[in-house]
Amino acid sequence: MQLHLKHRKASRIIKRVTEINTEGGLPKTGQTMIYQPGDDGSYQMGYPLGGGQRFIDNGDGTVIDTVTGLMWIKDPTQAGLGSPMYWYDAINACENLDFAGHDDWRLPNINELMSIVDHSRYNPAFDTFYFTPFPDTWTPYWSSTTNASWIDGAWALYPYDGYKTTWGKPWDMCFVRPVRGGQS
Amino acid sequence: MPSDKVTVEFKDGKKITKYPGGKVEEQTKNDLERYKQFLIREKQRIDRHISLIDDDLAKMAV
Repeated sequence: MQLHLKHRKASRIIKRVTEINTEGGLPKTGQTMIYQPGDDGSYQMGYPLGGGQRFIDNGDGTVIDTVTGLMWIKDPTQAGLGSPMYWYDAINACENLDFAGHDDWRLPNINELMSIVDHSRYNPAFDTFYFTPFPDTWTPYWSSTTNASWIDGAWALYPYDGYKTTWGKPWDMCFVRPVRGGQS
Repeated sequence: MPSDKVTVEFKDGKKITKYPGGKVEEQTKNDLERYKQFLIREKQRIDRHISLIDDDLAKMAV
C-alpha cells in the first residue's frame, strides 16, 4: 500500500515536471550574449522556446505575457499612474483602478515584476515596445511584497537595470505598474 | 504618506506595527541591527564599485 502511494506521488511529480518543461516555467532572461561558456547567454533557458513571441499587445492599453499569463498595463501614465507614490498609496491606487474594462488590477508581487525584466537591455531593462517606460529610469517600481527582514520596507525593482532593492514603505516614492490575472 | 490605519509604537524594546484587520508585527532591536549591518555591507560594496568605475573613468581621460 505504502509503495503504491509512493509510486503515485512520484508519478504526479514526474507529470508536473513534464508539464512545466513542455508548457511553461520560468521566462527567459532575454540575455543572448555569451560572456563565458556556461553562462546565461550560452543556454538561454526558459520560455518562450525558440525565440518565439512572448508578449501580445491587446491594442487597448494592455499587454499579455504568454509565459506567465499575466496582463500588464502598457503605459501606467494612461491609467493615471504617471507619478511616483508611497507604497500604501500604490496598493490603493491599483486596487481602485478601473482600466481597459477591468477592475481587478493589483500591485504586482516582486516575482511578477522581475518576470518582465529583459537582461539584454538597460535604461530601461524592459522591452519598451510593450512596456512604455517612465522618463526617470532611476526610480524603482513598487512591488506588493514586504521585505521579511525589514517590514518597513517593500521590495522594489529598478527599471534601469532590473536591480531588486528595498525601499521604505512610508518614506519613499516609487512608480507603479499594475498587473492582473495569474494563479492564486 | 503611510496609511492612517497603520500604527506604530515602541514598547518593551520592540517596534510594534499594527495593521488594519488586527495583524501585529514586532521588530526587535536584533532584527533592525542585523538589517542595518546588511545595508552597511551593501553600501561598502556600492562604494567599491564606484571606485572601480572611477579608476576606469580616470584612464579614459583625454
